[in-house]
Amino acid sequence: MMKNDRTRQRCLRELQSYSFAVYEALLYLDAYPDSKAALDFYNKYKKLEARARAEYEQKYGPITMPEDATSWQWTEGPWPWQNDEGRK
Amino acid sequence: MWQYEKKLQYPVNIKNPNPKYAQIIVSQLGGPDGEIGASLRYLTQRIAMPYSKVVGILTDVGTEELAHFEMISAILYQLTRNLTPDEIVKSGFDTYFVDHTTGIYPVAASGFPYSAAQFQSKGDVITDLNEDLAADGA
Repeated sequence: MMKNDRTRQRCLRELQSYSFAVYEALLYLDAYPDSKAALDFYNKYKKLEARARAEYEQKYGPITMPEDATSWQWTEGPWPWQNDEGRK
Repeated sequence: MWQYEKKLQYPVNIKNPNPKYAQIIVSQLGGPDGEIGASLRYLTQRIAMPYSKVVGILTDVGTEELAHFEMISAILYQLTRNLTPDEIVKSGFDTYFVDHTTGIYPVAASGFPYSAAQFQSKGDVITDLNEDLAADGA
């Protein structure tokens, strides 16, 4: 259980780091929409983020509302503030 | 509208509970410079903002503040698990605990509940942006 959760958290961390980069680029682009460098950065990391998100969702369940849900997993698994210590 | 993402913006994984820290960190949730005030400030000001670029920034920054609100909530939740009555009293967390137990409630560290009196939304570009500088540039 603990080991599985460490694997899950590694997968989640990868997604979180790409998401963080994407969001920072988005904020920058709001102010500087003509920056080609920022746009390239955004597109590069958005692709990586989408890939990491798909991998996480396939293994551990939905991050946002799922498409083609065959069973309702949204309320399963830990919520983001629940780490190992707090889970019931 | 908004759509929830079932993940924190940055991981929060606290091993050792500490109610004293929680009592101070709660100000970042509901204090005068806390995340709920920050998100309400940007998300209200953006409506009357006449420049589309600025509306975009206020929308996206205000949204990010909600993610910060969730992270601070996670920190408070993890800092206050499995407390003994003795720990609650000795740490001084008892003054929060008596009203909220370990529920997450937006107050300043002083105990003053979150109040919208702590920010302004004036419908004027320069006034609102200066208000934002004072709030988040501090």
